[in-house]
Amino acid sequence: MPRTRFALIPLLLAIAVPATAQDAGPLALLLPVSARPAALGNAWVAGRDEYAVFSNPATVSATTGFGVTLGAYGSDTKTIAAVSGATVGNFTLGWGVHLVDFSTSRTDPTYPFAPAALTGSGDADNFSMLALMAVRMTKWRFQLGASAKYTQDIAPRETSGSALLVVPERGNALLLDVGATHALWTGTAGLAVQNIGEPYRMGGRYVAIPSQIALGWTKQRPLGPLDFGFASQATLRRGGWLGVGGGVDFGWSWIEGYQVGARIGARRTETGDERPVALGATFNADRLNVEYGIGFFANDTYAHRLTLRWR
Amino acid sequence: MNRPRALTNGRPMRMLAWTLAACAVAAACTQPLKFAKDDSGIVLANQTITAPNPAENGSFRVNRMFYGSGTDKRRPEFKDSVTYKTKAVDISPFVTVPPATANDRKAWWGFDMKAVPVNGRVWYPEGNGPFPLVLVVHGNHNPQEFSDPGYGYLGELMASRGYIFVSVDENFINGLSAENDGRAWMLLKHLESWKRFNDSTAGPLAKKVDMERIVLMGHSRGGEAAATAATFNKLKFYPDDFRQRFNFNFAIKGVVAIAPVDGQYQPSSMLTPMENVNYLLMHGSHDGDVSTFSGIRQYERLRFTDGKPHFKSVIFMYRANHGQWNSVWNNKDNGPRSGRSLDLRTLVPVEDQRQMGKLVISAFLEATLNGKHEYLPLFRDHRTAGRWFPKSLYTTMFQESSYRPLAQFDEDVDLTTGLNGVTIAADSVSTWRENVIPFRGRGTDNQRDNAAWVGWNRRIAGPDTMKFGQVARLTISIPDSVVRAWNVSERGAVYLSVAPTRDKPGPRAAARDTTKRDTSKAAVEARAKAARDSARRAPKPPRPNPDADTLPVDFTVELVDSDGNTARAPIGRYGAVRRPLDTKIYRRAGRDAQRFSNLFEYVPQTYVLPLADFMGAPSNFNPAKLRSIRLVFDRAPLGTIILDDVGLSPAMDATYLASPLRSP
Repeated sequence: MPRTRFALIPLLLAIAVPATAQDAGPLALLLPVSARPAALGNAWVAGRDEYAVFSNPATVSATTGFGVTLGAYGSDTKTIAAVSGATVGNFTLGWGVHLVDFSTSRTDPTYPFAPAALTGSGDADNFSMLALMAVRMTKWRFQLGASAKYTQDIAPRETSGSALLVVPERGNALLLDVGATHALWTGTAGLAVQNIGEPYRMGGRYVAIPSQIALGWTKQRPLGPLDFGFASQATLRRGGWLGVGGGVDFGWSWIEGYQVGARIGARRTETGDERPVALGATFNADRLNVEYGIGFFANDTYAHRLTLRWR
Repeated sequence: MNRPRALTNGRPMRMLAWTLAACAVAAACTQPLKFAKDDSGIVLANQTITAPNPAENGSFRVNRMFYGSGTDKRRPEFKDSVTYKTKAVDISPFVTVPPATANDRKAWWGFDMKAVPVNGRVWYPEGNGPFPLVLVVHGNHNPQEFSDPGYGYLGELMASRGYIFVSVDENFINGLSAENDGRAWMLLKHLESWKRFNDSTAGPLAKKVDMERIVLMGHSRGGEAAATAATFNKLKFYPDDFRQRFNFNFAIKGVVAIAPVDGQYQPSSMLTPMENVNYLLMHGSHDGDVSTFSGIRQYERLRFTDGKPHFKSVIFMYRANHGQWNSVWNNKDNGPRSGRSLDLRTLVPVEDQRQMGKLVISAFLEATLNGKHEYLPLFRDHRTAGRWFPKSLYTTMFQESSYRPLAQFDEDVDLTTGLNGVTIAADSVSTWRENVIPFRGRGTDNQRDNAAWVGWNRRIAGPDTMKFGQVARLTISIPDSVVRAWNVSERGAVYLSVAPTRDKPGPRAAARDTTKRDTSKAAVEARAKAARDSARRAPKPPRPNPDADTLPVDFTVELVDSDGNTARAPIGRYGAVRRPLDTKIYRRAGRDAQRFSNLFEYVPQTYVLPLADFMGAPSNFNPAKLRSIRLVFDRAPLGTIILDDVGLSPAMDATYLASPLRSP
C-alpha cells in the first residue's frame, strides 16, 4: 500500500490543474472505450481486460472472450464498442471497434471535436470510428504488443451557406500503437506509444493525430474482505499536454464467481467542460461481467457507459 | 397526505428491490449442507485398547531450538537464534526455478538454489536419550507465509513423549513446480546434519539422537517427498542424473504422509516405488486442495520384501480438509479467499482434525519407533480405539507384511482367476466385472488399481415386490496346495477390502415358464386379459433416488474348509459398513458435480477377519483346511461393491489381532 499512496499524491496534485482543449482528432481516439477505464480516470495503460487493447496492445487479454459497450453522452450521442480476442500459438490476438454517433451544430466551426462536444446537440450528424487489431507476445519477461488502427471522422459541413447543400467530410488515418508491460514492485507497469501516424486531411486542412506516450501502474490486492484495485497513468501528448489520471476500485465477493464492486477515478481533463471525477460499478456472475461508468460534464450532463463482457 | 419524498419516489424502492433480488440470486447459488449419515455414535462407541492414549502428552519436559544458516534475512529464528549452524546446500540439480522469477526470488530470499539453507525448528525432550528422530516437511503454500511453524502442536506432543521432532524449512522452494525430488533430497540433507549434531561433542543433542530410529513425515507435496526420500535413501544415484551420487542409507523406519500428492515427481518417469518401511497415510474427504485421494496409489505401491515385520495403514477422515493439519494453513485450502469457493461449514472443527492427527501419528510412532505393539490394533480396526477418535466417519485400510494376496484383480483379464491358482465364481449376481478404481476427480487419472465390481438384486422383476430369488454369492476358492504351503493356521486372518458404490442393479428377470401352454383362443385371450389387469394393478416403480437410500451395503462372509464345514460372520463385525460418503466441498451449487465425476471417493475399507473367530462349534471349521472364501449377499436386498485385495495372512502377529471388538 505505501507505493500506492506514493503514486496517489502527484496524481491528485496534477488532477487539480485544469487543461485546455487539444487540436487533434479523430474523436474516437480521445475517448475511453469501456466503462472500467472511464471510471478509473482513463488510467488503463497497465490494466488488463479485453478492452485494454484500446489502451495498450501489450495488455491484450489471453482469455477468449467478447465484450460490448454501449455509451450515451447527454441526449444525442451514442457510442458502441466491441472487442474480442484469441490465442494463436505463442501470440495473443485482439481486435476491437469503437463507433461514436453524435450531433453538433452545422455551423460549428470547431474541428477536431473535443470530448465535451459529445454532450451537445445540433442538426449535423457526425460519426467517428476506430477499428484495430493487436498482437501480443511474451519476450524477456516483458509483454510486448503492437496494434494497427484505422480511424475515421465524418462531419457534415455547409459548403455554400445553404442548409440543403451538405457535404459530408471524411478524414481518416492509419495508425500504429506499440506497448509493453512488466511486473513492477507488486503490481504491473505499462508503457504505450499510441497513435503513431501522419496528420490526416479533413475539410481541406491537415489535422494532427493525438500521438502520445502513456505510462501507468496497476495493482490488485486483498484488503480485508474486499478486493482492492488501483490504477494510475500519466500521458504526454505531442504538443506537450500532460494528462494524469487514476482510480481505485473495491470488489466484494460473497461466493466464488460472483462479485459486486464500486470504483472512483479522477483525471486531468481535456477541457474545462469535463469534470475530473468519474464513478463506476461492476457486477460479475461467472463468465458474465457487467460494468457501468459515469462521467460528468458541465451543465449537469453525463456520460454513461455500460459494458457487458463474456469470458 | 404528504409522504416523505424518499418513500414516494420510486427509485429507492426499485434499487431496494434489485438489491433484494440480487441477494436472493446469491442465496440460491449456495448449496445446502449435506452429509453422510453419522454413525460415529455406534462405530466409535467402544474402546478395547487399554494402553494409554497416545495423543496425550508424555512425561518429558519439552525444549525447543532452531538450527540453520545463521544468515537468513527473512527468518529471524534462523538468523539470530540458531543453536547449530548448518552449511548451505546446492539443491539446483533437483529444483529448477523459471528464469522469469529467478531474480525476484533471489532478491527476496537473499539466496538462490545453489545455496539454500538447512533450517529446522526443533522440539526435543529433556533427558539423556538417545531419542528417536522424526522429521516433518510441509508442502506447497505461499512461500512468504512460512509453513514450518504449523506443526508445533505435533512437536510439543511428540517431544513430551520422547521424540526429537523437527519441522523442516523448505519454504524457499514453495511456489515452484516439478521440485518435489528436491523437497525429498532436502530431507535427507537434514538427516546428514542430524548425524553431525549427534556425532559432535558439543550442543544440547550431542549423543542424544538415535539415528537408528527415524521416521519421515510430510504434508501435501511434502507427503510425497517423505516417501521419495525413503526411496532415495537406498539409492546410489539420483535416478534422473547419475552425476548426483547418493550415499544416505539412514535407518528410516517409517513414513507418514498427510494428504499427499502422488506423481508430482516421477523418477525415471515412473511413480515412486517404496519398500520395507511402515507407512501411515492420512487424508480428508473434504480436501479443497488435493481433492483426489492421490496417496492411495503410494499406499498400494508399497511392498514388503525383506521378510521383516512392517505394516501400512490408511486413515481417511470424513469432513477433514487439507490444511487443518497445519496451524498456519488452517482452512485456506484454496488460498486466502477459500471461503468464497469452499464450504467451510462442512469441515470438522480444527481441534478435532488435529486431535485425530495427534492420535494416529503418535500411535504410529509408538508402534514403529518404540515397538509398542499395543497400538497396532488401532490400524487394523480403528474401532478398537473408538473413544480416542474425534467424532467423525473414518475409512481405514491396512496391511502387514505377512499378507499374501489371493485376488487383486489386476493380475489378468479373466474374471474367474486370482493369484496362485485361486479361482473365482459368481452365482446369481447382477454385476461382475473388473475395472480400475476411478478417482473422484474428473479426468483420466485413476487409482492405478484394479478391483472387481460385484452387484446383486434379490428381487424378481414383476408386480410382486416381495418375490425374491436366490441369494447372490461370490466364491474365491483356494487350492489346497497353497493353504498347505502357506501353513495357514488359526493365527491367520482373511483380508477383504470393500468400497460400497451407489450402483443399484435392477430386479432379476423372472425364470422362464417352460410348461406347455393351452393355445386355444379362449386361453390366449384370458392370459392377455390377465396381463392387462396385472399391468393396471402394478404400481409404478419408484424413481430411483440414491440419496434417500441409507441402507448400508452389508453382506456375510462364509469360510469353507475342505471337509465342507462352513462358518459365517457378517462383514460389519470387522469394520464399519456404510453407503458411499457424500462429499460436497464447494459452496456453489453444482460446482462439485462440475469438478468431480463422483461426489465421493472410492476408498476400500479393509476388513481383517481372524480365522480363529470362525472356529469351533457349531461349524467345526478348520483354518488349516481353508478351501474357499464366500461372499454371501444376504444382508442387503440389493447393492454393488468394489472388492479389492482379497488375501490371507497365514499366521498373523498376534499383536495386530489383540483388543478384538465383538460387535454383532
